[in-house]
Formats: sequence, C-alpha cells, structure tokens
Amino acid sequence: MGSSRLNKGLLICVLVAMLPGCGSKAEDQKALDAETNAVTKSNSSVTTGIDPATYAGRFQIKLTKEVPLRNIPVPFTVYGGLEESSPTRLRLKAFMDLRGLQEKAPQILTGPLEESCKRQIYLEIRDVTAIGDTVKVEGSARAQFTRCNRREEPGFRYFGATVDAVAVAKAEVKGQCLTFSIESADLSPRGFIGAVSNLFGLTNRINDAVLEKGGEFLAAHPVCPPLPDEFSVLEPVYESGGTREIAPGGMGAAVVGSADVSAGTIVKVLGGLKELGVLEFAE
Amino acid sequence: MRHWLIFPVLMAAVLDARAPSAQQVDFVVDATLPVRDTELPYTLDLNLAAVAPTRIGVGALLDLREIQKTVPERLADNAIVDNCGLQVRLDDLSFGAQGDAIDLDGDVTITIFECSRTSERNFQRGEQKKAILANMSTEATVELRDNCAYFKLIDLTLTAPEEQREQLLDDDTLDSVKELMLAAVDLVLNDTPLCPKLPAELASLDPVYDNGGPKEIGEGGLGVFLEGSVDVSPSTILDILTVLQRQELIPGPP
Repeated sequence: MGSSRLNKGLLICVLVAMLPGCGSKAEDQKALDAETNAVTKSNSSVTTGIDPATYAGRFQIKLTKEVPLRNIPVPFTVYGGLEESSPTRLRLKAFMDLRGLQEKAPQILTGPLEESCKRQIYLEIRDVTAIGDTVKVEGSARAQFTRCNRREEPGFRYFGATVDAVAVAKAEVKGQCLTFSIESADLSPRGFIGAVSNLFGLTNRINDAVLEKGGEFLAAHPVCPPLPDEFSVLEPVYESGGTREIAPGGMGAAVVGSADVSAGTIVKVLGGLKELGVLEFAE
Repeated sequence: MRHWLIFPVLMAAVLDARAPSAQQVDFVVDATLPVRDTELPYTLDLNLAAVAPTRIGVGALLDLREIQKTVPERLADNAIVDNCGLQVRLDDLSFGAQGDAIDLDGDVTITIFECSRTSERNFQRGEQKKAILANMSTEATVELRDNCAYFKLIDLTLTAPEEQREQLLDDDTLDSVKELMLAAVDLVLNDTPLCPKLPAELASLDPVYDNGGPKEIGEGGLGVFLEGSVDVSPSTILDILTVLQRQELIPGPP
C-alpha cells in the first residue's frame, strides 16, 4: 500500500507537469508569449500512427507550437475536428500529439521536488511510454531527511533512501479537466538501505513526503485547457477523453466535447476572431 | 501567436454550453459602389448581434461621406439631359443628409436648341435658342428592393431668376425640363443600387434586409442604414472557419 502511494505521488507530479496548459494563468501567458515566433503553419510532418477518427469533423485544423517548459522547448501538435451534431450542437474532437513532450519529459522532470532544510526530494524520470490508453512512467525518487540547523539549512542527515518506481496511470475527464489516476504500480526500494527502511516502515515517510509535495503541486497546477483572457468567462466542458497510444509507445491525448451553439456563440466566435486580427476588412 | 490562439478560442466558444448575455460585434469593411466604368469607395459598418437563439440581427451602415465629397466634382459640367432640343448641364451640386432625408442643391444651365427632323428616326440639333441658369433643389430618399438600397428622388424644384421666368412660363419649359431631369436621374439611380456585399469570410452570414433608409452621419454626412437578420446554425461557424482556412488566415487541415 505504502509503495503504491509513493508511485501515485510521483506519477501525479509527472503527468501534471507534462500536460500543456496546466499551471497558473501567468505561466500560460508566458508560455504563449514565448511561442509567438514558434508558430508554424501545418506542414506535411508525420501524422503516422494517429487515427484520423480521433479528430474527425467537417472542419479540421492542425496546429503546431513549441512551448518552453523549464526553458526546454517542447513541440506540440494538435489536431482538431468540428462537426455539426444537431441543429443546435457542435461536436469537437481533438487529438494532441505529445511525443515531443514524451521525449523531453525525463529532461524536464528530473530535478528537485523539494529542497527544504527538513528534507530534500529528487525525482529522476527515465522513461515515459504510452500503452493503449494508459501511460507508463519509469523513474526513481531519492529522499533525504535532515535536521534543520540554526540558519534553516539542511544539517545532520539521519535518513535517506532511493526508490525505483514503475507506474501505470490513466487519464479521465472530470468536468473540464483531465484527472490522472493510478491503475497499477510496482515499487522497489534500492539496495540494503531500501530493504532496511522497508523493514522499519520508513519508506512510508518518503511516500508521505512525496505525496504531500505532489498534492501541493496539483493544487497549484490544475490540468485544464488554457484560455485567452477575453474568454475567461467561458468554462469549456469536455465529455470524455484521456491519453492514447500513438503506435508504438508514443504518447498522445484525445478529447471529445460538444456544446449548444446559439447565435450568441457565433457572435462570440466572430468577436474572438476579430480580436485576434484574423477578421479584418478595412485598411 | 494568433494562429495558436485560435484553437483555444474555438474550444472555448464551441464548448461553451451556456447561453451568453446579449452579444454583438462590429466590423468595418472597405466596400465599393460600381458606377459605370469606375468604383466609388465607401465604408460599411457592420453590426452583428444575437437577437434570438438561432438568429443574428445585422445592422449595416453605409458611410458614403467619401462619395459625397467626390461625386459633385465628377458630375460638374456633365449634361444630365442631352437631346436634340434640350441640354441640361449641372454646374454645381451639393448634397447632404439631414436627419432621415437627403437634400440636394445645385445650379443647372438649361439650353434650348432648334431641333429639326431629318428622317423618321433622326433629328438634327440646330441653333441655340436660349440658355437659362436655374437653381435646382430636391430631396431624395432610399428604397429597399431585392436586398439593395436604391436612391430615389422624391420631387424636384427648379427655380429660375425673376427676369427669365416669364419667358420660361410661356414655353412651359421649366416643367418639361423638370420631368426630363427626374426621368434621367431616376435612370441613373436605378442603375447604381447599393448592394452591400459581405466579405467572403462572412458570406455565410448574408442577411435579408427588411428595413432601410438615409441616415445622417455627423453633421450632414451621407449615410444609408440597412437592417435585417440571418438564420444561423452550428454550420455557420464551420463555413466561416473553412473560408478562413482557404485564405490561409488560420492553419490548414491535417
């Protein structure tokens, strides 16, 4: 039980950090600004392995953008499809190619999760693989527990352990956000210290620490699609979706939604397109 | 950046299931009025507002102030009526909107010639009999036909200076000149309807106009307003996006 909780903490952190658009508004804005020049029109780049049914629709669009995550540029490709599903409803299907992120994930996510004088936790992610509609994350966590000295710096180290983790997670659509949950986990404390710490139940302290930090991280970074400021009044609702495998092992995410479309919605879209400078008819 | 932003816009708008409060959007469109072999520029102020769940109200204000400035120059020294026995030349013209009417004022030179028939169909203009300077004043309005706005003269008043009046009345000239002028101007006006054409991107919002008329813009500025509506469906959005994509204003399909 304890070991699966550790994995859960690890995974949640990993997956939350991996999804584009998660994070505070300010961060989103920064990311959007930074990719200003990185936008490229659709080209004939590889779409291999992506099922066109995941973005089917009368209107289709392909967007490629590069978003820096922790100063590492990460390419994202989004395929979107829109279709009229009834006289007053539109259905939206979107598929995000996350293979660029998957490749950079170990580089982006490896690093300190917490560095206080009480404890230091370091994550090391080795590999992220998609399997069907789940994601497998392989990595390890190294935790050190120390006493704080007078200057609030880490002092005497009284316990430390490294835990290897392989976990499988699944994404679910809840409300307007993607939520991840653990399907299964396999945890193995490393070496003699690991075995001893397991024996004395000390691994739980690592679990607790990682879970606590993971929880804080989650609270600060809701996994919801980004919206420009002028559309903050809108709260998109997705009906279903989750991560998908792009053969073989490649990671993607599919989202399906639909909504009532009224004259007001259309006017709002026009207003939005005008704001973006796409609809301009006068010099 | 704008390309990428479109997607969130779409997602946001498309997935917005709630009925939004009264919304509207304005567009300013450069438009032209084709007149014979040339095109006169004007500005189309377009206002779109949701008036019912599946209906968008369209208000179009045609700002004709540029035309108002250039047309008198172009018409100056032109003959409005030019036939065998009569020529009416426009020396000066000014017009402007006043509330919901259009006032026109001008000076015309009316020249009467001898006219003799040379065959069944041909006439030969002879010597000039007399030339009169007269003042013309008229009022115009706007008629809505076939989704286009047509200018129409309501009436025409010709006044000649006192010393020439008797001579004219004798000949009943002024009345016939007036009739000819009205007919000639109506011909021209019927030939130049104002049919505001929406930009290709908004073609799927092409409205049916059911009301229209002159409208004063600022001080005496000539404008024409048209009011109508268009039925919309979710496909309307897809039509607009498809055009934007074809024009490469937004990223293309996969």
